[in-house]
Order: sequence, then structure tokens, then C-alpha cells
Amino acid sequence: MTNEPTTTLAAPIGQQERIIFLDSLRGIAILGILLMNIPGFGLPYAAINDFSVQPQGDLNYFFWYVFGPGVFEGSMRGLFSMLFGAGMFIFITRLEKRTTGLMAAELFLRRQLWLLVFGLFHAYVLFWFWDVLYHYAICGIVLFAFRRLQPKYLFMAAAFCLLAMTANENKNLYREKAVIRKGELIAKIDTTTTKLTDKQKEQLAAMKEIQESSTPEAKKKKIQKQVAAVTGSYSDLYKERSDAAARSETNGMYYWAIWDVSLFMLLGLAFFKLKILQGEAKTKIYAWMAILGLGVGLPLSYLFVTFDVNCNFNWFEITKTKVFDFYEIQRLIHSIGIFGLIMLMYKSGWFKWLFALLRPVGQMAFTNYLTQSIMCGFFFLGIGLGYFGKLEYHQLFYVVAAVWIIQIVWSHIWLRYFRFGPLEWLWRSLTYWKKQPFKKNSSSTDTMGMG
Amino acid sequence: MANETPIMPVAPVAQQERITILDSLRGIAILGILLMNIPGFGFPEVQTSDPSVFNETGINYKTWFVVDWALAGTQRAIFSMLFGAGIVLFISRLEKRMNGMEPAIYFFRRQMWLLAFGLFNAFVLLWFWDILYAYAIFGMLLFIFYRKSPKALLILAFVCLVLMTVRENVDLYRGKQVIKKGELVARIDTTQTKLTVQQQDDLGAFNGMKEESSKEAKVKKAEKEIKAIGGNYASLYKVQSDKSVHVELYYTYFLAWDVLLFMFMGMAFFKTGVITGNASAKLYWLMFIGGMGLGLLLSYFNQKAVVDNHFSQYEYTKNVSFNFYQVQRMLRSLGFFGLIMLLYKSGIFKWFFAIFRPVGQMAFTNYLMQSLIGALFFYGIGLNYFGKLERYELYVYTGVVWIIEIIWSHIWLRYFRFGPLEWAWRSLTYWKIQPLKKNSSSTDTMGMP
Repeated sequence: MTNEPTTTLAAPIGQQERIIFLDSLRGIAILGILLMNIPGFGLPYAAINDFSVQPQGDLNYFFWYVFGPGVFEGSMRGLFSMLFGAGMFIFITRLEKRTTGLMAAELFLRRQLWLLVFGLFHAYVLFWFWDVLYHYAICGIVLFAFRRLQPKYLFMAAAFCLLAMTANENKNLYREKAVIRKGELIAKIDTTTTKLTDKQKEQLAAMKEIQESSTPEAKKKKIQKQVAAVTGSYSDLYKERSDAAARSETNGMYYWAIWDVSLFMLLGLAFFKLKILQGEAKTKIYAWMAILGLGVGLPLSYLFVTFDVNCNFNWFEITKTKVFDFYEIQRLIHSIGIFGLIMLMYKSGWFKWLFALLRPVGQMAFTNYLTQSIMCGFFFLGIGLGYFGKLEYHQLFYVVAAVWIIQIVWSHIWLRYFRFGPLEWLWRSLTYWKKQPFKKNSSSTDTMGMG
Repeated sequence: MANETPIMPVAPVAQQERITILDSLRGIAILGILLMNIPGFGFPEVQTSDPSVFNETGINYKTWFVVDWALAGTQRAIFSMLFGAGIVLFISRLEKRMNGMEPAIYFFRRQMWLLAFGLFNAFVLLWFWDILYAYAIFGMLLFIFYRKSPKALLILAFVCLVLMTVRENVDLYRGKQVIKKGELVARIDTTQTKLTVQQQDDLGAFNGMKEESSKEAKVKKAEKEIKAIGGNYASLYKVQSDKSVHVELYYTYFLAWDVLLFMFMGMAFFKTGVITGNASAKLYWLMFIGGMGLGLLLSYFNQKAVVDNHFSQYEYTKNVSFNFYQVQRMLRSLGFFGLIMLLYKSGIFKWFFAIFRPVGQMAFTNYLMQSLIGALFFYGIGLNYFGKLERYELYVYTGVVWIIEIIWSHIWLRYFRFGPLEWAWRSLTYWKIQPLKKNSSSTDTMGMP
């Protein structure tokens, strides 16, 4: 076989090489993601973006709006994807310089494959059905082919993803509209005089199904079922969660994740090449991002959300009346806005303490991501404390705050004594197929690491 | 950035470099795959492996029996083996001629273009059993393993076999659970006790399974599909694209092991020379006799279980205790492969392999041509023969297409270096228009096996 390329220089990134600011950004993203995920941990699925089936009240609405679709939704995941795209690039470029032949490509793919395995573990063992590691693993592999493109082309590819995503959303919208329209036409037929054909019966049934499932009663039933399963026995939980995970990894991956995740990975790659991600671009650029992003994005989000609110979250009504689904567009805009805002905070120099506080959290992002699922799983699932479906919306954020404090504290402590977080260490060891040094010491004979 | 200059000009394989037995094998597999696919082209999905839906008897039933018993799954297996071997070949060739990461980059570009062609096959040519999509994705994963030793690859193949068998049986036992729960609920006297939401669901799932397995439901589904495919482009597109999406999501995700098993095997067989005919005749005899012998035996029982349960998924789930489809399919595939290699090694059948060689050299073109010809012949937008032919007639059609593909492959490759789609794929991968016309100069060098 072909001679083995040298592997002596293949090893994870050393402390000096890390781009410090990216770690802080990742820390923000990782804590921020819990804000987005906590409804999924604590509330029945039917209740998450549907305020009508929850305990009402201004406090709850405020939290739902701000930490949900109104302001932050999609921005943390977007930031995370951008960092992942950049990290991928850092990883491969570094290894290309230090290894020969195909080693860099092989190591990258091994890394992605192990990420895929962790993703499956996350979804099917830790029961977090909104796992993204699986999707990131796959998108990362696909994006390998785009790594070397100039920022110009990366932006074009990102634009394509945005278009594809929006086209997909609207294709689905209009398909549902057609079902409803056909069904309503048939419903008008006087069945005492004309008999319905088989096809017509089917179309009528399809429309009725959408109508039925949009009623509060139907939603409450769904919620009851889910709460019973999630707070029930292990096998009930397993069935419910594994079905959801499978859907996310098939339908979700295919229709949604490939565009949604790739869009931001490509942007992250481009921003990294333009030094925007590392905070080295002109303040002016970030200011424009924040102003336009939030200035245009927040009103758009407002429009998007109030549309649903005005229809009282009745999916049947929403489908009938909505003309254009611009979820991905508005989410992209306000995510860029929030990114710009964070960068402005960095450039101002007033928030050094904040970025320093979150740096270890970002260095151990992988560990922190999975431990969020472990902690929240323990708190909410029936096999743990069983709080699923029992908290009001705003109370979920007490859990978030508690987890944040735990994660910030233990990240600082852990990284004082060890080089990497435990799962970071595991992931690296598996990728390089060699046990990595674990304890922190003064010698710096070991060199690189994963970006 | 890493320097990008290759040692030699980057280009596809010249004629002298091709490993001819692989071309012949691929030719056999490509024609064999049409044999497996033709029910998908000509019959409604429920009828493809189920002769009971429309009461097939006589020669139609016998045709189903033989194909299902002896050949099912074997062509796909050989194709996967060749694909795995091809990956090793492609990368190792490029590694000899290029520096650094170049081979990886070309490999991934090649796979991404294959993915694009797969989507074209599924959503433009509307062939819902397209495999290019899955092969593109799995090929990328296989990159990680291409340097592994044959032993490691065979172990990985074995792991895939185990996982696939586990998968099949997990599904079987999950189905049994649905039945058990449903039967329990069905016994409750609903005039006295009201059913809980969960119980209603269980009963619903149980009844749904029974319903779907019933002949009436299958016939209805089939007739609906025939109407849709015989209709205009919009209705054709809807039904076929829904089927394609289902295959691309579920087959790729849940049945990954089915494909990977043979890709790993192909990689191992290439490294040990087994797939190029360099192993001992004894090994091929072992594969043929053992594989076909044991495989046909197990297949017979596997098939009997399906027939005895009247092709009803419900009855099969209830009564069968172990599903060993993948095991017997693997054995028969090895048996088939062993047989072909024995014919090759005997040296008596040179003419046979010579006939298939050009077909295999243009395998990609021929695969997509099958979709195109199939679409024009069977779909409503074409000659509209979908659901109109009898099973044995489908195989007559297959024979005709075989002849067409054999003849035109020979003719085309007399004047051109590659098939048209091979040329397109290569040009896109190397992002440079490749020479197409055949001439005596051999200045261009490498390429795809």
C-alpha cells in the first residue's frame, strides 16, 4: 500500500496557538444556545412556539418573545455554525502545514465521523432530540469541498443556501395551502345530491386533518401524550425521543439542516478569511452589521411573530393567510445584527471581563454542550426529576441561569488543572487515535490541537 | 496555504491503465442491476416484490420466484464492491501523481458531483430507486478507511452485517410489540371501559398495520400509483419525487449497513487482488459453492416465510421469529461473484467478458440511460406502459435494453475515450474539459477508474 505519511506532527493545538477571542465567542454561543434549547428540554413540543397552549401572562410572553422568535432565535445557533465553519478551516490548514500527504484530510474526516458518533449518542442515549452534532458532522464533510474558495464565492454559496431554504419553506407552505383549498372546495359540495369520489374523500380528509390538529383541544391532547411519555418509564421515553431524533436526522437533516447549517458555516468560513470573525476588521463594519441587522431584522421578526399571534397560533389559519414565509431571511438578518452587536462590545474594550469570563466556557464548548443535555435531562425527564411540562415559560429561565453559573464556574476550575475539557480530550484522542496528554504542566513539547 | 502544484498534469485514466476485469465485472453488474430494478420501473411499488397483489400465476409467479430466490440483492452487492474498490483505485492513483491534499480534494469533488447526478436521477429522470445519492455520501465516509488493511476492512464489513441484521430484527420485534399491544387493547370491552389516549393510539397503530397489509389496501395503493404515473408531468413528479425522498431519507439512514457492508468488502477484495481475479481458484470455488449453496438454502427458507404468510407484513411480523435477509443475501452475492471469477479464471469465456467490458467502461452512462429509457417507456409522459405489462414481459424489456446497451457501448467506445456521462463527470471533477475523441496520442494520463 502507499507509504504511511508522517504522523509525528499530528496532534492537537497548543495553548499558545488558540485564537483567544474565538473561544470567548464560542462561550457566548454555547451559553446562548441553552436559551434557545430550554423550551425543548422543558416544554411539550406542541407548546414551544405556540404561546396559546401555555399559561399566559406578560412575564411569560416577554421571555417567550425575547428569547424566542422575536430576538434571539437562530442567532446563537448561527454564531455556533459560523465558529464551526471557521474551526474546520483552522484545523485543516494547521495540519496541512505539519503533515504530508492526505493525513490532514483523513484526520479531518475522522474528526467529523467521531462527531457524528457523538451526535448519535447525544440523540439516542442522552435523549436530546434537537442534537446538532450529527448535522454539523455531515455539513462539515460536505463543506470540505468548499474550503478553499474565496470569500466572494463563499458568500454566493451562502446566498444559494438561503434561497434554497426559503424556497423549501414556501414550497411546503404552498403545498399545504393547496391541500386546504382543495379540501374546502369539496366541503362546499352538497353531499345529499352528489356523491364524493374516492379522491375527493381523501382530499377532504387531508384538509380536515390540518384543521383538526390546529384546534386547542387537539394540541392539548398531543401535549398530554407527550408529557406522559417523557415523564414515564424508560421505554416510553426511549420510543418518544428516538422517533423525534430519527425525524430530525432524516427529514430535519435533508430539508432543513443542510441549508440552515451550511449557510452559516459558509458565512463563518468567509468571515474568518476576512478577519471579521476574529474581531480584526474595522469597527465600522460591525456597527453596520448591528444597525442594519437589528434595525431591519427586529422589525421583520416582529412582523413574523405577530402574524402568528394574530392567528392565535392556529396553523390552519396561518397556512391559509400567510403569503410568504420569510423565517430564514429574518433569522439571518437579526443573527447578523446580534453578531455585530457582540463584536461592537468586544471592540469597545469595555467588556473585557465578560469575554474573559466566557473564554474557558468556549474552550470546553463540546463538554458544556453535552453536559447541558445531561443536566437538563436529569431535571426534566421522568427518569430524573420529571419537571417536563410542569414549569411556566419564564420559570424555564431560572434553570438556564443555574446551568450557566455551574458551567462558567466549573469551566474555569477545570481548565486551571487540565488542558482540555473531558469530552474535548476524548474527541481529540479518538481523532488522532492516540491518548492525548491530559494534565496541564509547564512543558510545551506537545504542540497542536483542534481549532 | 499548502502548495497546490501537482507533480504531473491531472487527468483521467488512459486506456492502457484500466483494469479490464473490473470493467467487465462492472458491465455485468450494471446490466444485472436493471434485472433488479425493472419491477420498480414497471410496477406499482407494492407489487414490485409481491406477486399476490394482482394474483400473479404461472410464468409470472415463477419469474418472481427465481429472481427473488436467487438474485435479489446480489447485483447491488457487486456494484457496491466495485464502488469500494474504485475508491481505493482512484485515490491511490492520484496519490502517486500528486502532492499533499490534492487527491482528497479531487475525490471529494468527484463525490459531490456524483451526489448532484444522483439528485438529477431521482428528481429529473424521476427514478426513485437511485443509488448514486447514497453512494456519493458513503463514498465520502469511506475515505477515512481507504488505507486500512484488508483484515480491518473485512472486520468492518462483518460489523455492518451484524448491525444490518440487528436493524432488521429490531424492526421486526418493534412490529411485534405494536401487534401485541394492539391485541391487548382490542380485547377490552369498550362498552364498559373507556380507552385512554395511549390505548386508542395503540389500537390505531395495530389496525393500521393490519389494514396496510391487506390485499385491498395494496390494490388501492397500486391503482392510485398507476393513475398518477400515467398522468401528466405534475402528477408524475409528485408521486415519484415523494418516493425518491423516502428512499433518500430512510434507505440512506436506516439501511446504510446494507451498502457499506459490500463497499468495505470491495475495498478489502481490491487490496488482496480478489476482485481482480488474482486469488486462487480454490477461494473462488469456496465462495461459489459455499455462498450459493448455503445462500440459496437460507434464501429458500427466507422466501418461504414470506410466501407462507401470504405476503402480508402483518402476518410475517406476527409469525416470523428471526429475519436473516442480509445474511443470505450476502452469501448469494459472494456465490454469484465467485462464479463469475471462476468463469474468468478458466480463460474459456474470454468472449463473454469482452462483450461486457465496454458496458462496464460506460457504466455510469448506462445506469442513467436505463432511467431515461425506462422513463420514456413506462411513464405517462412517454409510452405509458406502467402497470400494463406482465412480470415476465418486464424481463423481455430488460433483455432488449441489454442488447441496446451492449451494442451502443461497443460502438461509442470505438470512437470516443469515455461514455458521455463519464466524460461529463470527469470534466466537472477536474474542472477542465477532458479530451473526448479517441486518437492515438497518449499525452493525457490519469483519471477515474
